[in-house]
Amino acid sequence: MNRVKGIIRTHLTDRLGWIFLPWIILSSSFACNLIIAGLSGEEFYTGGLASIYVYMTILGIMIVAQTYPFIIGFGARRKDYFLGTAATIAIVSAVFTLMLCVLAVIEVQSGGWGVNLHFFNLPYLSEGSAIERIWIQFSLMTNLVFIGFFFSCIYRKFGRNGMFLFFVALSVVLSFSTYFITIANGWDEIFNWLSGISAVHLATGLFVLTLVYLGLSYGLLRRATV
Amino acid sequence: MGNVVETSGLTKTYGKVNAVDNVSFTLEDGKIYGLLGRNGAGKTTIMHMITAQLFATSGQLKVFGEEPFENNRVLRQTCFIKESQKYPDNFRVVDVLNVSPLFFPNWDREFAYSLIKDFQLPLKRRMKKLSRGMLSSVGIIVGLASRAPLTFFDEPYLGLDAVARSLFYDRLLEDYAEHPRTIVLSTHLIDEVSQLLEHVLVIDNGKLIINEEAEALRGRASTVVGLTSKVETFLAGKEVIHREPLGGLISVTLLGALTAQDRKKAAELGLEITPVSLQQMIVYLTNGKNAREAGVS
Repeated sequence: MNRVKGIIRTHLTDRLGWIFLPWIILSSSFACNLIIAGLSGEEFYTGGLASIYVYMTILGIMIVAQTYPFIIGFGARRKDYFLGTAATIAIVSAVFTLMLCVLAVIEVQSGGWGVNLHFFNLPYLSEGSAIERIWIQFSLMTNLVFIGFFFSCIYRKFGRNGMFLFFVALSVVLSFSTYFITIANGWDEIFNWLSGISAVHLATGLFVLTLVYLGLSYGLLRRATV
Repeated sequence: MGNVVETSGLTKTYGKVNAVDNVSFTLEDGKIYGLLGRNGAGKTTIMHMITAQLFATSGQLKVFGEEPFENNRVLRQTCFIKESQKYPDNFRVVDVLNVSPLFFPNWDREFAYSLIKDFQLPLKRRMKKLSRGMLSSVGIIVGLASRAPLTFFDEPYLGLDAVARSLFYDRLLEDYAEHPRTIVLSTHLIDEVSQLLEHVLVIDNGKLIINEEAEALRGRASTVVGLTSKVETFLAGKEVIHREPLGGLISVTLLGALTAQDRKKAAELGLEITPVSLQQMIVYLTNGKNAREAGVS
């Protein structure tokens, strides 16, 4: 366990990348939206919250490139690197999610920061009990970071060509599935099914997907070199 | 005195190229080794395999008696300082020092900070902004202060000036005397380190061509200078690795220790015998024209 803790501490040494930057980006987005909402004087919905999710996806991509050669070069086991990195992502995502949920509550209490702004408290995303809301946002955030992490692991193991092949294969699979769904007239059914799912169910589904990326990422990292 | 590293038939293949070709050697506890050879000879690849950062294509590899891959008992005891070591972009020098003890259990913080003073490194500067020489200094500091029982320095002083290099040799020897361990130095500056080395391994084109005590190796070759005709008579039955005619004179480098009888004969013929530096010898042995198996012991 000590070794995994060491990896977590190593990651969190980069406080700028892990902690400050996402909030700097989110707060600038928030500031802009606050000004617009204040000027418009009407009830204002915005997707500015997406900025933190986009940043976290990019963070997931960056982590492996930035820290894998460093940490493995310093003599860590690949397993410890994987566990420590996954734990860091989980911890940071959990803390961020809690903060976002608290901010959503403040937003409601303050009447949308006094200007009727809907920044943190959004329809669909902020539905259900407190625990459900936290679960939805946590699952969404970890899913995005681990997608980035997974792509980065492909690059680590197979290099640029592997990455290229992966995306070619992925687009072939997606094109064929789209084609078959279209000729089977399946889109209506799919959209009906999707709209029937609550955010919580979707979050749980995403979490299962996240576990799949995690398993694949570990398989890749274990055989990756520096 | 156990064996810290044992390899047998270690091979790494990239496509059809054998980067490391059937290399077998052992490293003993408490010695300073020189791993020498030209660029691309396979030195770094061997060190990468010993530290489980690259995977061998075939062959046996034991470090501290165990397989190094995913083995914390082994990895915690090794420190591999390489010229190409990457650091996260946002890390400052002080961050590297702060996280090092998490990886190296024998880390000596005071020693690290005294080295920072010696090498005059700016603690708060980002690794990304360091000059090549400063980056090398950070590696040297981590390598020394980690006090790992098996420490590799791969081209540790790229971009370092002569003062800093001699500082490195001094600190290395001082600390090695107090905390004996196995140190492997891989470098091009053979003459500079030849006094430090106890044992020399030379890799050429992926093959191990020399594996000998440094002391024995120093007597392995000598240069004979004299009149061409006289030198030629002296050469009968000897292995020549280099020839350099200078007018009527010739300078010939011979492989193999000279006997007392040889020396007497040379004196009679009026030939001058000088020892060959380790660097010269390795240049002769690895410059392609003379590629050979130089009696791997």
